[in-house]
Amino acid sequence: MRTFLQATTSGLLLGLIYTAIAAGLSLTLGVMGIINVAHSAVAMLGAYLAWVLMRMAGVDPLVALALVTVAFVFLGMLIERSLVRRVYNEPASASLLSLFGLMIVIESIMILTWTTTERALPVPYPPAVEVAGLRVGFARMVGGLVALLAVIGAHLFLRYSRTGRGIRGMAANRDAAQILGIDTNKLSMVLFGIGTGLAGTGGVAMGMVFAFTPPLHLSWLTLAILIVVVGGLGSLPRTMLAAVGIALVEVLTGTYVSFRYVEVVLYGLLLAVLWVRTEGIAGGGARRL
Amino acid sequence: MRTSRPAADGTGERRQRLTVRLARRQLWRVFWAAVPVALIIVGLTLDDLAILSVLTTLFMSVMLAQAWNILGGYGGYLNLGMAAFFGTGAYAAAILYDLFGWSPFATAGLGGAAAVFLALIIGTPSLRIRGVYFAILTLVLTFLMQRLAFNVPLTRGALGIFLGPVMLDPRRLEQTFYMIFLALAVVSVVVVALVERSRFGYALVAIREDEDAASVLGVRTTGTKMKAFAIGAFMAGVAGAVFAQRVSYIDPNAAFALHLSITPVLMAMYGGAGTWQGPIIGAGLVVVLGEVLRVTFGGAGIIGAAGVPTEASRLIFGAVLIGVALFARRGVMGLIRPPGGSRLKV
Repeated sequence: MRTFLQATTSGLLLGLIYTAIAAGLSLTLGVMGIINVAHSAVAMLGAYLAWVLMRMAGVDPLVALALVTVAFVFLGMLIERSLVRRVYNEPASASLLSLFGLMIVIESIMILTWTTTERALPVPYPPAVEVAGLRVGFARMVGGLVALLAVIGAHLFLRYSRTGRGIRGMAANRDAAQILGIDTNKLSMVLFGIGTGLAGTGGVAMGMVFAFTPPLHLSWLTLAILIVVVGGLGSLPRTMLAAVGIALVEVLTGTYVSFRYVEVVLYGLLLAVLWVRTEGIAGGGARRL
Repeated sequence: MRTSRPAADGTGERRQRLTVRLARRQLWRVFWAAVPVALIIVGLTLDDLAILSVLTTLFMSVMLAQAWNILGGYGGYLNLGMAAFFGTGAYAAAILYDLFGWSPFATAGLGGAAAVFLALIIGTPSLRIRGVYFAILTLVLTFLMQRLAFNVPLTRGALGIFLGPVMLDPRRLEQTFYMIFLALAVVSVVVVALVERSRFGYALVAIREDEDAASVLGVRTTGTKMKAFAIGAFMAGVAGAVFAQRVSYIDPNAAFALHLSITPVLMAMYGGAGTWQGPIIGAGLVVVLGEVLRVTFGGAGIIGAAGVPTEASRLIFGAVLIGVALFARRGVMGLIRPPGGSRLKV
């Protein structure tokens, strides 16, 4: 029982961090219909920038996380403006190709700058704390809570702000939104900025918990895609549900079966989900025709 | 020109223009027929093994790009899982060799069949859905297959499977694979060219342009997509099986490598997806670009360390990719033959 509780707690916190990684992907895919394959490379870039800030300038981890997040909001807007917008009306493969190119460029720059040596964020935290009789990794707790805050912030923004309402209108029907006077170009830029900012948050939070190296970002991408598919598109609460569920499956499989089968179980689960409900567990309701 | 034209009728000129167009078409036909002949001669006479090897890889790429092209180019469904079918074919052949000692040359068809089997399983749920989910699902499929190959006893996990090398001198060996892949590439090009002119091909294009309209007009969309998916899977599976024999050792990382899924798409897009010439042109461009970058940056160590120059060339490759996606959106064929029709979507 104790092992179970321990694993569950750890899985929950991990799920929150996963949410941050997947949230941006879910938003851009759900609202703009773009598979942002550069998402994880950007997240990894965030982890490295935080590493530089902390190592070279001795910045506090949370400050580094905030800086990276804010900077990445602007980076995302820049990417949308210069790349995504130009291929928006082309078939999906055009945006996919350009973003794939971006992914390769970012990855190569990271490898050229920081090599493939494994790094870890030098967090000045105690390794673990005792909470209600359970040992919880401190960095994991901080990362999870910060990720939770970022996702809640993005959710509230989309839910209640004027811009957020516009973005949701755009998700429902882009052309209709434009006809009704919503500046879809501007909102796409904002949305892509939010998504990229969340990627930054998620990358730094992942970096607090796990060691990282540039090529590893592909496994982050897989994870994010998995979460987005299971959770359905465009809704942050559902993404969080899926992320926590997947993290729990991962941790529990690792605890009770074997680490070797974690990914097989996850992908098998995904296929099963898609067999039953083609638009994810929580998805659906989309109109045909 | 304008002044010399007879005032009353332009029939003579029109007929002349038609003749020129027909002659040009004939010329193109002769050209495309001459390419394989020339390549056979090259294969028989060339002594440079490195070039032969690059060309062999090029033929395999053409084959994979054409395999993707059927559903991806004509049908407009973004399949990001070519590696899954390639790897399945490779592993089917390798396992058959491992268990029974059958040569992959004989079992290449079975490798293709195994890939088709996978396509049928995965196509049932995934082709019912549209748009991005199909791309995502096929992408995840590759990762799933790779994980399975790492963990199932039959595939020997990360150890991989050794296939007995073919006992020939290096030149003969390279020549053999050159000819086999050339033949396979030609067959796949012919298949795609035939598809382009068939009822099946038109059905696929109709699905790409507007799936609902196609369905209303009586195109059996799911069956058509499934058929396209399965044909592509078969071609990729056969390529994988022969590839397994060519390298005579496969492991999960090599057989299900992500670039095997992405490069065929790139090649088809570069050249022009949805045309039978596109993947040939695109594969040529990508392979030549790759070689040029490798020779320029990977040669006598400009930056020094062994691992660094490849990254520099990858960086340029990525930048070129972005450039193509932004400025030549329908590939080389799109530049030659601009698409007609309206671009408006209601």
